[in-house]
Amino acid sequence: MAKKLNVNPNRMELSRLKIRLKVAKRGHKLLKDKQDALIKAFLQKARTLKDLREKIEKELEECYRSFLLARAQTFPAMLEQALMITGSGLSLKMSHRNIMSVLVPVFEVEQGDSSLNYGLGTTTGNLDVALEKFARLLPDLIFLAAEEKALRLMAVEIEKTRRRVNALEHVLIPSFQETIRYITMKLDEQERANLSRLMRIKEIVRSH
Amino acid sequence: MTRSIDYGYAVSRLRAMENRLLDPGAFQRLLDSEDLPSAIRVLSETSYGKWILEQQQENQFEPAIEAELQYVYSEAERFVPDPGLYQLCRLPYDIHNIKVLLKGLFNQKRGGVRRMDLLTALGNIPVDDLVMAIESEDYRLMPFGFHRTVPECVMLWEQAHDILQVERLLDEKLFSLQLLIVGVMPFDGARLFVRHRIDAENIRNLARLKRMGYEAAQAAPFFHNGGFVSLDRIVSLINEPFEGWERLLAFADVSKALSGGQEHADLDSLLVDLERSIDDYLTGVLEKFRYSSFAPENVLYFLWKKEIEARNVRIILVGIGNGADKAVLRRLLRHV
Repeated sequence: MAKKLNVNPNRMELSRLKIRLKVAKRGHKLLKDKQDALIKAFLQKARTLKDLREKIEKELEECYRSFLLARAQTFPAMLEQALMITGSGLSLKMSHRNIMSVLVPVFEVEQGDSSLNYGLGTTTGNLDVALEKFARLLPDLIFLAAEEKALRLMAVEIEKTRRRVNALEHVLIPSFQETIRYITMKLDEQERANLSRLMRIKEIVRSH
Repeated sequence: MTRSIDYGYAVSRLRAMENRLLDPGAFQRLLDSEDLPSAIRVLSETSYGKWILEQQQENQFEPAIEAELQYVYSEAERFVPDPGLYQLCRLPYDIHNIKVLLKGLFNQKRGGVRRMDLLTALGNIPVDDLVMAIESEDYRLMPFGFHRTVPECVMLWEQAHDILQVERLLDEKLFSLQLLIVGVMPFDGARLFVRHRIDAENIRNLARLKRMGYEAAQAAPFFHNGGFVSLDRIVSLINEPFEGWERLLAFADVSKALSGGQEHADLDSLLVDLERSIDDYLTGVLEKFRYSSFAPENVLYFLWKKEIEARNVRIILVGIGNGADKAVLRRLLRHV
């Protein structure tokens, strides 16, 4: 049973509580709508992202396969030495997008010229292939990271909204209703007591 | 000046050392291993076993391969009359060490880190001497003309901050030095090998640059002088389709390395096979000397085979350790 609030049982409190109940019910409806919309958007995004992730994982596997060929044919220190200094750059601009009050990150990737930055004498051709594949995949990887972050933020927001909806539905609204019922009963009782007191007084006056 | 006849003893020693080379059966057993630990167990039954036992961590094989190469080079130093023959094979490691130190130096200036762990003892120049010379900027005592090349690299970096220029200069130095070393030796086979190697390297670079979409003018600085095929001819090939390279280079021996190029759908898959066939082609260049008991080229042949063997072992172990397809690994293996 919902716990009633610790308030004075008077008319002012009653009307204040009635207003709060009305607001809580309206908030509950809005939050419930938000939760439903968020879940719908979340599921839609999750389905799209699953496909994207599978596609990128497949491409990544291909990249690593090429890199494995390069690694297998090169003295490992030479491979690491070749990649010690890189000349190509990548600039990342970050902004935010609002999806139902969830601020999700949006990345804009600008890839610089992926020019050759290692000597050809001590490396193999597979390294070129692998690095080129990695460079091609990088914008997609960043996009996937941003989308997955958005999905995670949406999941957190859904969880938060669900808690709020539950708190309103199972705690706040019942306790308001309980308190209103209690105050109403109290006021009715007061009125009845008042009435019987007045009748008693009237009876005493009449007998004299 | 050493004469060919002085190589009788050296060749005998090399014949004895050939027992250290892995036979096809050993490669087959390595390939048949289910996982990395079992492959390392198979390897430990070979000449690499001594070095594998010294490893402190399980499943470590790279230090063992390096130690075996180091042992073979130091053994060869003991009985090969002309140091040039083994210096030739160790030069790429010197170049690698210099690149590690220079890149570390450049990185450090930009707030990065140095990577001393990447230095290898396989080079001709002792690592400590190299570190001392480059760290103290006292290049005077650096051998092989590096006393001029290293400051030139530093200057290039300071002017343009373009690591590719430094890399190109050092790669160029590697081949010019190899030519210089064989130039003073009276062995035609060694000279032949280096010139064929330059041709092969140029073809390899050509394929890589063509795949990357380089134009002739951009690609020209990546090729090395001294091969049998002129640089102009090599550069002009970049505008030709790969399928035609074999025909256009038919006059040169290196065209043998290009046979079978038509079977590939794209340059990506071609590169894998091209690198293998180039190594096999270079093995073939030296192979004809193996039947001469006094040919100094036997030294080069043995050391080259050891390098190729180390590469094959690495291909198998890395592949098995990462669950690569065995058919792919077999395709990568060089002929030993």
